[in-house]
Amino acid sequence: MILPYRSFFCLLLSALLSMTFASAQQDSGRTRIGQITVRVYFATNANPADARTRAKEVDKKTAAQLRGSEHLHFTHYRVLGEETQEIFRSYENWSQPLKPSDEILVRFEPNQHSLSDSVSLDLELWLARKKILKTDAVLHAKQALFILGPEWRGGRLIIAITPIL
Amino acid sequence: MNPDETHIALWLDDELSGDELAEIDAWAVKHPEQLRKREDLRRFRSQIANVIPASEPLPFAEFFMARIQQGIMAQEPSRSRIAWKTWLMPVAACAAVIFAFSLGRGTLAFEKNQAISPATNLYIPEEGVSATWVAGSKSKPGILVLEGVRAIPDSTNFSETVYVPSARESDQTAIHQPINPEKTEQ
Repeated sequence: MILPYRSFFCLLLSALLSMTFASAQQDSGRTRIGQITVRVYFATNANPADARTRAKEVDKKTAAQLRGSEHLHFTHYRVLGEETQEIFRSYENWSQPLKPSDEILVRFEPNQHSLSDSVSLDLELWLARKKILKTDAVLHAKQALFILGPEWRGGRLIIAITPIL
Repeated sequence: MNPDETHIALWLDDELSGDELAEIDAWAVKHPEQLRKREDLRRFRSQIANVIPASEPLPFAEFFMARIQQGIMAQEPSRSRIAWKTWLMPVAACAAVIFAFSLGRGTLAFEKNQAISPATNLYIPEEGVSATWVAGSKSKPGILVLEGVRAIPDSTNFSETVYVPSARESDQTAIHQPINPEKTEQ
């Protein structure tokens, strides 16, 4: 049966509108382009037991990496907390590595198209609910960015941000 | 009595007659420069009349505009000499787009081989706080050193409530949504 001229074009227009609507439902901005792990270390030159923390001792490889930098060189390291969050293509996300405490928060959002082994992020570090630092950096996969943070119980907190791509 | 400029202009062009002419003639006797000006204008009109026959109207604005247009057309290059520009410009535009695209792809490839780039922008809104960027490489991590940050009170206890995942649990995606301090009332 051959459709009348007007009916055919109405049908075609409806099909085109439906396709457009369906594609609009898929928000490409929510596309996951990777993950980010934020880990908080407690570093001290004093006896870590004095800090009265039950945090775990870091592995030797991580300790060696931290001691390799003059800015991060301490005698003892402990892992206070860790969290892994998604990196969305066009949306910001937050990491709360010491939950339920919001003493340390990290906000991140991609600012360019990521490559297979790196991602360019807008990063914000929030301490005690105040924005302390805003920066941009290109992070390579499994290569951490370290932030030497505030003092606490005779030592310093080190925030490590590592992308997983 | 001083005549106005309109009457003087008409007197210079020999357009006056009768009492008005006599009045300004009497005034011009005391202004010999005006008499010289009128003589100059009479001599000029005589020269023009010798060149252009009286039967022809004197040149006016349209005449001069036409002569100007003829001069422009005489200086304008012929169409055949600039015809090549009409097809060269779109070709040049396409080449510029292709070149820019290739340049962009080359930049991406360059970034791929870069070590961890130094932070190009550092913004420290908190007064008294400073940050130093220590660039990293593929073998050395990048480090941001903060100084002047307020110390976390020793009374703050992370160890009692903090969740340190095991090695297996840390592989899973976190499901908790963090608190957004921008939306939290203080």
